[in-house]
Amino acid sequence: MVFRFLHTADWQIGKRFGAFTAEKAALLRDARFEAVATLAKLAISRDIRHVLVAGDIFETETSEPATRRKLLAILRQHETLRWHLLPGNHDPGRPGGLWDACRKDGLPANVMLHLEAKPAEIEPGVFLLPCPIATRHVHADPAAWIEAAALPDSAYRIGLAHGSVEGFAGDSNRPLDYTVAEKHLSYFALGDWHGAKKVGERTWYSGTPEPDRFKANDPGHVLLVTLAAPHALPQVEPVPVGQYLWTEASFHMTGDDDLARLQSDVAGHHPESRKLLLKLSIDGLVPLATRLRLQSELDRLGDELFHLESDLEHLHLHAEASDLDLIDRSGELRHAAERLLELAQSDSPDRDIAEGALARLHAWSARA
Amino acid sequence: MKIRAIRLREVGCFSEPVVVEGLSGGLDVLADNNEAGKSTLFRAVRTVLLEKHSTAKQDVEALRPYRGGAPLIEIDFEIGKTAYRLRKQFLSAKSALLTDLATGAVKRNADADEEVFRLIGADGGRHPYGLFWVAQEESFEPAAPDERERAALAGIIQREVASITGGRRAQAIRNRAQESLDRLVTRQQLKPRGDYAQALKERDDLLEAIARGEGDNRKAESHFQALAQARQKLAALEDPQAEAERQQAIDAASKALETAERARQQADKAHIVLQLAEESFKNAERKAKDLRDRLELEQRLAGDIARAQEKLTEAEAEAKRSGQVFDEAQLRLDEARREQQEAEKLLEQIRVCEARQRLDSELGTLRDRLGQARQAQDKLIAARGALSRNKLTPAAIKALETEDRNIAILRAGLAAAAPSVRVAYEAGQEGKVAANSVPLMENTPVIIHQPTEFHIAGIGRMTVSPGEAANMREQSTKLQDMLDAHQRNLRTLGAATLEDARHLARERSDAEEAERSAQDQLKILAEKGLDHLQNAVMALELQVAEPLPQIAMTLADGMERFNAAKQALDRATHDRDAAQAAKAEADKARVAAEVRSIDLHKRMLEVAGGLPPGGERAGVLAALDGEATKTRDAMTAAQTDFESKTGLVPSVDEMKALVVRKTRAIEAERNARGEKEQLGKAIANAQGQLTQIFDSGAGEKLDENKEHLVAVTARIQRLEREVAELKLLIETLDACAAEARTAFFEPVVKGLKPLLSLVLPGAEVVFGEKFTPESLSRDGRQEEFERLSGGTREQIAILVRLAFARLAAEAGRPAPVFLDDALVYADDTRIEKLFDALQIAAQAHQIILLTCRTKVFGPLGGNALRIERRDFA
Repeated sequence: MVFRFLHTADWQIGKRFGAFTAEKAALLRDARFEAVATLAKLAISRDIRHVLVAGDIFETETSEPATRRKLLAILRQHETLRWHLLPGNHDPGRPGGLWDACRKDGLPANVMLHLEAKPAEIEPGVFLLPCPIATRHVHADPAAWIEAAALPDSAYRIGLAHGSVEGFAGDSNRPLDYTVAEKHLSYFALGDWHGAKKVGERTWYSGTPEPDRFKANDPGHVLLVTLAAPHALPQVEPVPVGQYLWTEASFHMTGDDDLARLQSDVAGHHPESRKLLLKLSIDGLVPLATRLRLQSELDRLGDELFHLESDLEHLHLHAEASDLDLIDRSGELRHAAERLLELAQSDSPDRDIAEGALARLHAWSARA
Repeated sequence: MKIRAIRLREVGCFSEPVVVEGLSGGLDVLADNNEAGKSTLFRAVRTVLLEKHSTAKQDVEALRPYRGGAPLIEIDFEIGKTAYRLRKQFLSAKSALLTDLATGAVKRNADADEEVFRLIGADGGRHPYGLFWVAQEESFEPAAPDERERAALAGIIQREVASITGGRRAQAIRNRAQESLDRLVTRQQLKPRGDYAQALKERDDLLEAIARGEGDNRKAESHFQALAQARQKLAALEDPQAEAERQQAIDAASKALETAERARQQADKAHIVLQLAEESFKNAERKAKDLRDRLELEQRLAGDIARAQEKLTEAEAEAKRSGQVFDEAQLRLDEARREQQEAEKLLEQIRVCEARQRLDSELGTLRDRLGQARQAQDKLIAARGALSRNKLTPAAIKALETEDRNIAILRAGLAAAAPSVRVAYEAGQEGKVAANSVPLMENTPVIIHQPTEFHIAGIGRMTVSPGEAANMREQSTKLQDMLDAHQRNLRTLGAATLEDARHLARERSDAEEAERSAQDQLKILAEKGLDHLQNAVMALELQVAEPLPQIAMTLADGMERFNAAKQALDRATHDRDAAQAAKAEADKARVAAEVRSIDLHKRMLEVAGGLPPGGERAGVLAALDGEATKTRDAMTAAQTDFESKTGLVPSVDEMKALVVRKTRAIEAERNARGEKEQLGKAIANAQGQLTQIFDSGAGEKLDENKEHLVAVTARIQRLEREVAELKLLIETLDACAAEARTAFFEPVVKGLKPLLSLVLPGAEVVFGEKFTPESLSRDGRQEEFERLSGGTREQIAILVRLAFARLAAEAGRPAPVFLDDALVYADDTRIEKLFDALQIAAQAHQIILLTCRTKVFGPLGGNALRIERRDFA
């Protein structure tokens, strides 16, 4: 018997994106619900019945009731699927907690909560070995029990856990010793790391299906896992499902020529600029005029992209006499420009301030 | 430019043509009286140079003479080495003609106007002449160039200052930076405002909301912990094995306590039996002892009674003897008391007799005083009678003597003024001449102070009258009046003459002395009055009228008898008291002996009354001893039984421990039930609280706020950076503007310095942006221009204008400085220094100075001008 399922995690439903405007935040929030719907459609389209969610389904333990209910409605809507939900550190499974609230809300019949560390036979001969987290901070390995789990040798054994793999994420909280566990498993489905990542022969992080931060760890996937036999190595297919791309980029500039390169670089990140969130760090040494034009280009990009965050802390001005001529050839303005330039090129702690002031002087003198 | 000649026709006060010629081009001074036309000259030169000939400005209209006409103004001037003549006529005959005096080339009308403007640098409307030409009463105003003049000055100065450009653009950018900064912070205190303030507030609100959210989180965590702990405890309490153990503990404790209670009850009963046995034994033993004690007491009392009887007999004998002694002493005392009373009575009689003798003597004295007092009374009455009849008091006699003295004075005056007639008789003819019928004595003058008739016997009558002087008559009348009044007064006082009156006055004085003497005597003799003295005499007479006994003994003898009697009484009294005390002591001893004897008999009766008869006493005593032995044995048996049962009773502490054990077991069960109930409530409460928290969605909001805070913090950092950049930009622009201004004014300050040092050594003028002197710096302090004295302001204003003119001259555009009636506020010292300054300034450019103060400006020197009234071609 071949057993196939989807492995996903870290939905972080209810994340508010407070750093964005209300309109953009709403779009990003909705995208996370849409990601669930997308992977449901994927499962159905691939004739898959079980979706394993390895923790952090919700962003916070005290999500708004509407958030809970909206997710439960989406899960209920795809009734042919079986959703196996595991608590993570963001949504720990403790008495009186989030999952009790979900139960009160009315847990759909196709949703299986795995709040206890005991095997669950999800299909005949297929056992799920959940490793739930009951508190926010966990210092014991929640998967330690798997080694001692008494199951038939012929059974499919799928571990489901949320935590940090030693030597991988380096997070002392929520430690998981996958090396021992996977010896007893057909597949070990992990959550917590937001990028898709193969950790061992049978151990994978699926990552979040919808990116939510600037971290280049390949998020936006769901894993389609095929188990040909209980002891066979799993076949894992990462399937991209994310809508938005969160990208950090560095850019070095020396003059006007780089502006065109900047445009093409940005365009290369995502075919749809309205789905791109870019954190752009620009460094280099540019003339006054280039600095002015760069600002115009950044203003334009800011309007075009879903979100642009530019860091110019390491972009400095250089100016010759001819550059200052753009401000004035002589007189008070020229004198002021020279002073500011001198300060900007000094070791003074105010040199960045002086650069900014000089840039303003340049920008305004062009219009004065 | 230098002006060489001025000619006017039909201009202002000059109806007739006038000329001022011979201007040196240096310091030209026109000193003339008021209304000589100096100000007209000033206005005419300004008009011909700076106004078009076709102008219809009010200033030009004002130059038209009262009788009408078209003002004609002509000046000769030089620019560089070229001499020109400019002639303009205004209003009805408007024309202009500019002639190059060297070549004879001319320009007319508008061309002439434009050429003149070009030559003097006033083309394009930019010229500084308004600064150089100071009209009457304007000299004390600060040199405040208008925009046109400032532009001209700047044009002049910029030739020297290379870097003065961009000021307007710099100001525009500064304004823009300031506007941007104003949107973010307040101008004075740089307090955040607008977006900046809003961002800061947003951050504070977020921090507060996050603190609240985290507080909610902590609460939720606390509820989770409370819930978990409560559930764990409840499970432990509800464990069946634990419940069974709690019940077993109660049963075991109850049983142990019951066993202990039974042992204690049996021991208590044995104790009661023991107590009763002890009581029986004590009673038997006490009865035997009691009988023995009473028998011993009976024997002791019999001995005591015999001894008491002996003492009573002795006491009765002593009482009888002391009674007799007392009676005898009492008899002696009575005798002595009688003798003492008789001696005392006799002594009293002797004292009465002696008192009568003193009264008799006192009565004689009082009778003498009464007689003397009556005589004094008579003298007083007589003196008062004389005083009542005599009216010549000292005041009255003094008044009479004054009248007499005044008469004598008046009479002496009249005698001195009046003629007098003195007769010398021939022998035998004495007395034949009479005045007013009174014969004249020889050599006795007759004063004629009134018509006096002289009769000369045998010859006839002759009347001699004093002169008709009014004073004489008046004095004479007055004398007569005084004489009449004097006579009336004498008569009223009962005297004929003044001598008579003086005699009466002495009599009155004697009577007053007699009155005072009698009054003094009466005061001494009868201090309280004559009646009182008389009553005292009568009272004494009554006292001495009573009869007296006849006593032969003297007072000394009487006293001796009395003292002897008294001493005898004292001794008898002492003896009687001693006998009385001895008798009382003996009586007391006898009574005590009787009481003792009675008491002993009474006790004997009491003791003997309860005893068995003598023959039975031994048997009774043996029976009592047997009873005591029997009860002691019973007590010993009870003691043994009690001790054996007491050994089975737990100690008090053990009993307490058993009670506590049972109580603790029961309480443990009760507490378990209570705790289960409390835990149930705590679980419900925690679940309720958590439900509320879950329903609030606080976690989402907290996360959102935290992310929002990151964004707001970044925004604040950007705004802080923007504020810093704007501040730096503004400060830099301000610093550069200040430096530019300093550089810009440097030539002006430089030109002014030599002139200013003459008048105000060490002082410097600070200029504002518009070339206006703003303040004076001297002696290390800054004084605002407006606060300086009028004289100093005027002098600085003149010197600044000279400095501007010098600058223009050095820039190759010399222009004359025209001062109309300036330096009116300068004191003598300052004006000398100002003259020096004018002389120095005139070396660089022409100065035309008009003044009405010919004397004051005499020392100025320079080229003296005068207005000549003559026509010109």
